[in-house]
Amino acid sequence: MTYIVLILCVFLVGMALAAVLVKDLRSAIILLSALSLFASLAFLIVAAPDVAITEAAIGSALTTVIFVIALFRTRKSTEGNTSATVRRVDESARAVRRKETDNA
Amino acid sequence: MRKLIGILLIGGFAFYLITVGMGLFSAESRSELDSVGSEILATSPDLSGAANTVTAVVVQYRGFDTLGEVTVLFASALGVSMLAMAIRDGLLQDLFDDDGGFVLQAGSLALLPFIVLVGIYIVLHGHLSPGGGFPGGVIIATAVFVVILTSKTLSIPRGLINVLETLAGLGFLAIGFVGLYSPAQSFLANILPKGEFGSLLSAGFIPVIYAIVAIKVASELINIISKLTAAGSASREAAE
Repeated sequence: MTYIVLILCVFLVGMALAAVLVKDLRSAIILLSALSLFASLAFLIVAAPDVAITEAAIGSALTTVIFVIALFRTRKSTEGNTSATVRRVDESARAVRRKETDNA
Repeated sequence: MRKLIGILLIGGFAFYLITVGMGLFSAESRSELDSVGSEILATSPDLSGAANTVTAVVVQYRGFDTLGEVTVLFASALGVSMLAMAIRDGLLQDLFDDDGGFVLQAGSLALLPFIVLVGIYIVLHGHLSPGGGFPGGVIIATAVFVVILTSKTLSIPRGLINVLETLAGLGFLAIGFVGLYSPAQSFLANILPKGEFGSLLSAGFIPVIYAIVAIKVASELINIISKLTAAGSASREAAE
């Protein structure tokens, strides 16, 4: 039993690493959702079914929906004719990114 | 640099998990952890009448804390609503350029009653099996999220949802005050009859409280998501 939990923990850390390292933001959201699902499995194995149900409902359903909405909202507001503030933020973000690639 | 910070954070988390795992499965720390738990396990059936001890702790042993949790949730929902109100002009446009297509829309509508049914089951059996008001309310709200994300024409009856949310919040307080003015004379005292241990109508006010919590959680989450996606009726009317 202990070994199953330890293997699950390794899986969890791997998924969290992948969510940080992956380039596509949508993939990162899905990886976090999968992480929550595996975490709820781990909770179930260590005999905490109440926490497992809550983790599955909130972690892999609610959080994913909110992240997807936030992702699409930011994409919508940075493309096309938007307010001057948004454009300025977008430009400064691009400048920071350029500086990062120069440093690397 | 940011990647390095992320890797460091996750490395720390892995170390934390391994340490906790080591502590949990060694025999010495077990007895210390179990001393409070065994006390609650011994007294819970007589005191609350709930077969699920976790629920007995959440609603009866620390019912006042649960009221605080519901209040925190209410405050955060209020904050998101005010933020969404301030930037409403930007939110009037639809989330996606195209709707999900016929199959996805019909499929999500067909899923809705089943997800709601599972949520209601989890809420009503909170005192018998794992689950309860908080996850059950989230599951009921998830059924509506699926429809919101796939259909462009859905309009949420926001007024009805606000009324439900307010009534649920007031109901929780009302049950608390009924306990205060009952012979037991304590806030949130379990004065209803306990019933037969393990049956659906048992554990006094615990199923009532969990039903109220589920209504409050579900209505708050549906409200937040409908405001973030402009699926609510008010903003849609303003757009036309």
